[in-house]
Amino acid sequence: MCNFSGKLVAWMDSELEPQDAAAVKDHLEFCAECRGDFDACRRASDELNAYFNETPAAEAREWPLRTVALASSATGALAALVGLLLLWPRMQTEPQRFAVPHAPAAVSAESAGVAQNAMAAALRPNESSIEKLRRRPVTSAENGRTQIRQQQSSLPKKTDVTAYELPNQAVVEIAIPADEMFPPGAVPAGMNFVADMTIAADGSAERLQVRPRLAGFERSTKHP
Amino acid sequence: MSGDAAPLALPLSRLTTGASEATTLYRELRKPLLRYLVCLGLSSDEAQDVVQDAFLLLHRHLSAGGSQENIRGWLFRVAHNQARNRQNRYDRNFSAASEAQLDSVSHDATPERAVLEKEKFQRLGKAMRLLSGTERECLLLRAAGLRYREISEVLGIATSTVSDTVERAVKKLAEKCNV
Repeated sequence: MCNFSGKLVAWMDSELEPQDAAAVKDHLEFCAECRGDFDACRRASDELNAYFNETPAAEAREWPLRTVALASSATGALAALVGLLLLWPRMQTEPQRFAVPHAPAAVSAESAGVAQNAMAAALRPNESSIEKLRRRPVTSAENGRTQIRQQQSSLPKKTDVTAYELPNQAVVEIAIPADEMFPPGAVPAGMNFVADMTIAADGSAERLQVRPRLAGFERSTKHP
Repeated sequence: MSGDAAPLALPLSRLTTGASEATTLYRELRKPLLRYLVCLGLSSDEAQDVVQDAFLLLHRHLSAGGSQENIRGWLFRVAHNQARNRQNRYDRNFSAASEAQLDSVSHDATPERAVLEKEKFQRLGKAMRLLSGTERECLLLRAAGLRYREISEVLGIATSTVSDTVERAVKKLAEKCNV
């Protein structure tokens, strides 16, 4: 047995030091026995690599959730835009129907603000009066002191658009089932997406954001 | 083999530069990790759980200021240890993976090629089962693209031992498979 017979695979893997690698290479040129061993090792190695690469790697769940969320933004934005265009005429004529009486548990304060801005932009015909209403401080005389507190959301009392009091919660929420955007099994069960929109004065969408949402894990707006 | 292998130390600054880079790293290493675990005998679901846990631990490791050197070896070591923690399933050895591979071959190939591939993989699987646990793990990690130094870190053995083990295991395979 040659001195180099124990270094054939390491040489094949380029794991030898340069001087050792050169010595093995020179040896293989004139040693037929080692050359035969080396060829057999290489074939076995190739077979093993083919075997390894044939192992199924579960293609269906290739993307992590964060990647899914990022990759879905374009699709989700498109879906949200389509939904917005479908809803827009009704929003203008029937704003009350689109008010959410109770805060959806999954809508964060940030997204509620985004949606509120969207509605503020949507109701721009009498912007100044709306803004006054929205920012109108609520006063109370408790303890003899005047306090200013945030106007809490409630159902609008009037249907007149100019006197419409904006709620603090999200006004329009478009839920997009994950199965509409991804192949079955790509997204875990219970995962859906919610689109937040900001609408410019001219009616175009200024900002679209799609957020993943897991059913059963909604964030409470009462305890941020 | 080594010519196809990924660089020894992935540029880990990529991980800290943004989520998209971390996602790229995940995509690069996910399949080799899954294949390694499945070849060890874990089911596909178990392997995916282990891989998800490994990347979660990687995130925590980096967030805590852990070393960014040889992240590939780090990930494989975490996955390997988690697979060992599922010892009873880990020891199912090579047979389950072999069946899955045979099925995948039969779906893609012509009937003649499928028969030949099945025979080849059956022969290889049989030879792999005759190897020791360390020999099998060394070969699988090598097939996943790890260098000897990375394998030594994953398995907790010396690099020279990895070299000797790989040499011995490949020659056993060549002998058993009559290639």
